[in-house]
Amino acid sequence: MVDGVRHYDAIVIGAGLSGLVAAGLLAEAGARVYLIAKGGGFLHFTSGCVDVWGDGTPNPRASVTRVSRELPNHPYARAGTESLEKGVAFFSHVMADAGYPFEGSLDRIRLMPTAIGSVRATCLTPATMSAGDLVDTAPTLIAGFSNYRDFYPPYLAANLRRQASINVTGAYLDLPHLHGRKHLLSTDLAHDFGNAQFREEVGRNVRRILGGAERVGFPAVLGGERAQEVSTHLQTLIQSSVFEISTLPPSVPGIRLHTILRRSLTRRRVRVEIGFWTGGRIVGTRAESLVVRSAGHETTYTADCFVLATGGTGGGGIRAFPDGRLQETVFDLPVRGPNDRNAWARAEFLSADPQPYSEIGLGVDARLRPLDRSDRAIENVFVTASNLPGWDPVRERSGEGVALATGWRVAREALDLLGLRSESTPVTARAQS
Amino acid sequence: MYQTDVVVIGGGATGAGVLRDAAMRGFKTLLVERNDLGTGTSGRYHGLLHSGGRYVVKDSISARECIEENRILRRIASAAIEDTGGLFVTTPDDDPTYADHFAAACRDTGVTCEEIPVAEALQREPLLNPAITRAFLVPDGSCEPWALIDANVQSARDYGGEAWPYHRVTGFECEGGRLTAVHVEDVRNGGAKTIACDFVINAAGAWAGQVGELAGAPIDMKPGKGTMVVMNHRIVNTVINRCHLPGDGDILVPVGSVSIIGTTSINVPDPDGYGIEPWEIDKMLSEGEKLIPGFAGTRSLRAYAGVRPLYSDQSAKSAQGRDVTRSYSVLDHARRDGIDNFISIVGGKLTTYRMMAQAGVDMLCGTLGLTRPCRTAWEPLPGSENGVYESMAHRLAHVEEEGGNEIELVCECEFVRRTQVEQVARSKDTHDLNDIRRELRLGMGPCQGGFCTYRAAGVLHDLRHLSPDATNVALTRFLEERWKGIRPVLWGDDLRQIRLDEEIYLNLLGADRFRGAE
Repeated sequence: MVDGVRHYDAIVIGAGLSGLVAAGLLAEAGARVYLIAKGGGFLHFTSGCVDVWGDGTPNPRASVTRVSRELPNHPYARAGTESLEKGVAFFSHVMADAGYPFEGSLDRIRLMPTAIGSVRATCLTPATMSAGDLVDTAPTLIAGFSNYRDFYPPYLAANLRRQASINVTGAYLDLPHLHGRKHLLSTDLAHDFGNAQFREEVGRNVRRILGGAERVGFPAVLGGERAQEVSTHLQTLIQSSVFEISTLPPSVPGIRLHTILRRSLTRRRVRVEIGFWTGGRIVGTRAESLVVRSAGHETTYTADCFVLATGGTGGGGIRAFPDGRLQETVFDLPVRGPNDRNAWARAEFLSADPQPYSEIGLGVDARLRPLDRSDRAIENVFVTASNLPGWDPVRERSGEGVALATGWRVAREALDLLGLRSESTPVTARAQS
Repeated sequence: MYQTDVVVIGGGATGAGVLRDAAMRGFKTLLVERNDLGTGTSGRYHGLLHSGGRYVVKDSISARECIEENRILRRIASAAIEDTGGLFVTTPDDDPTYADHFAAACRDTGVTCEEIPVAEALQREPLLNPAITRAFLVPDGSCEPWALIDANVQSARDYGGEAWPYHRVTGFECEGGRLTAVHVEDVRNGGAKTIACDFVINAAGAWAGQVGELAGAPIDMKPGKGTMVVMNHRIVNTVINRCHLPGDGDILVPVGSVSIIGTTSINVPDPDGYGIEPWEIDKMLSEGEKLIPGFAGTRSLRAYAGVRPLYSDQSAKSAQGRDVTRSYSVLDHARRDGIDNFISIVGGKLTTYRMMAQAGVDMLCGTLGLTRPCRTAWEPLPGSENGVYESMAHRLAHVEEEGGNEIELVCECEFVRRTQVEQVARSKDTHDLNDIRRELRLGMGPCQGGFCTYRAAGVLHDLRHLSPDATNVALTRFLEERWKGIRPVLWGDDLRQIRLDEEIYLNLLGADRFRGAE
């Protein structure tokens, strides 16, 4: 080994859901993995649920099968339904193992209230959100905090009454504990909820205004990773069901996922580094190395394979320029998308149809390997999620589903390449502690 | 029927200025505006308080007007004006002989101007093109149009004046060569109203021709579109002008936490029917590059366009775009069209709004044979009595000093406090989030309304000012309004920001999927 050069079996670039899951699967199968990312990944901004397909149809699995058939360029069609099932299974397993179980199934849509009282169609949710499922029409109290800016119970309740025909009221808790606290963030409240005395204060105040409500919805700030315990304790205190509602970033449920997945990587001896710029080198049809730039120096790493999970135009994996150029930022791979900035967006922001900028991505082959400018596959690079073309996570409500499906699929492809594949590995093996 | 002495048509800076001036001179005055105040040209300009330097060589009348009013506005409207100062710089792309013409013309027109060494200019503005060869300091400033308009209206109200936003003029009652009444439509609530009046002042700016036509007094307006691009950073602290004959993309104005580059100049047939062309954006970025190397690679936030209320009289009928004078005219329709009690104020700049208002009300007094002197040049506007401009630093200081829940920030980008939003939300002139935006700069910073839109909607709803359906409509309108400005500059980090904002508003909040609403 040359001084300053390190070698890994696999280098995963990107710390979003697909990158974290791919790294976990690779490590679990015995690969030596290095995960490097420029930023903390998109989970910090997400709902913390697993969206699979949310167009109003009742069965996400059936929708994915249909999409795979009708849209051959959709990531679901490329990854396959099996990848989705196995990716979701692996994810659920890691979460359950960490004491933060997920509930729901690929066969039934879950309709959850949003922070403005609209309805979001998701698939799996953390157990801490389950009681909010709008299939259940039990009378509901929505509770917020008077000096927390990112949750407005009366507005939420007024909308939800109309949207879901549920008897729902909204109220602010004015808690002495929070008096004088400036600029409260979701993460501050999550910290407070880790404190049993604070929970008791919340419990007492909610009991006073509970009325006939049979469940109480809070913004998703009920503790950090121990949210399951926190929420169970609150249910005991309030003597009614309790559920969380995702609200503005920083997303506490998203951060929980990031933290749990990242810790599971560390346990599997994955080296994780966040906060660095990277540039890769391709020779012929093979990616050779990755240069990592940190303050004052550069280090070159080599690997047998690379997972490119850099998040497309939103995550920084693909950069769009005013002259219409689209640039893949690590390996400078060719990007599929219109080279005309006027063709990147629709006239309406809230358009129900996919935004062209979302559909920009890298050309890939059937094994999710990127194509170079001569349409040759780069044989040891695998592409996930938002780096893939032909989908719109937001309008499809499919972000986590595609991340898990493609994360699982690229891990399998990489393991094949490394000769490490074993049929039983990804789903059933237990995390090392 | 409503009865008043004077009806002012148009709620831009000029109309608001006329309302104040007429009310101060004892006329019972009512302003009608088809939209919210400051939504036409006044709210869609680059925010420059002209020193006049831009016009000294080619348009000396306008230059003299600008410097005179510049001095007056600093006195009466300090709360709306940031004293940034301005620089005229000669870049390698500019004719080097222009600088001497410029300096001489400044002397001739009375525009204060001091040549400073290039090194000093670069020290003052380190990002400036180091290849500049000359630099002149002038008293340019940055002006917040909505604050200025609101202060004029507030002052007018103190003198008994009234303003009706969201009232569109649909026609006039005409009897014996006089306009006896104005018909308006209540745009918000529906229904027609008639305002009986003694006098009508048309201050509709680029729309003055349309108003004139309704009154039977055709006015040949030449609306001139100008496009501007808002850059994410306060790239400069001083207004920067190219030292050459006015052209496209040669002014950079620091405004709050951002800076604005402008403009283009294109004649358009219809003041409402114009779009932003991609080449205009490219032009702004490439011209900006000549002033600030690296400019085009800086994050842009949004683009917008406004229409200049250009007017040319018969003698200069063939003038187009930049050749049309930026000076103003007060048209006496008694002489022109045989309508005794109707005048129009056309042309001009936001910087000269007060002078235009004065000229209009002077003509009104003259027509009626009254001697009532104008006092608007001396009496400070409400909020400007102590001569202080509240900068971003002041706003931050408020946030840090105040205690309790009221210091909650609804908008971190522009330091907008919850109490401010509540105060505006309670006002009867506030109908939606865009009204709050204009008042407080809500959603005008780097996050593009990503966080504050939801918060402001929640606050609005809580104050019971709006029903849930109306709140939803306000929220979605605000998002779409922002989108119009963002879409022309959607690349790089702006695109990343939008992908975060759509995660918030579509995925997390479901603002695209309200059921049973509307």
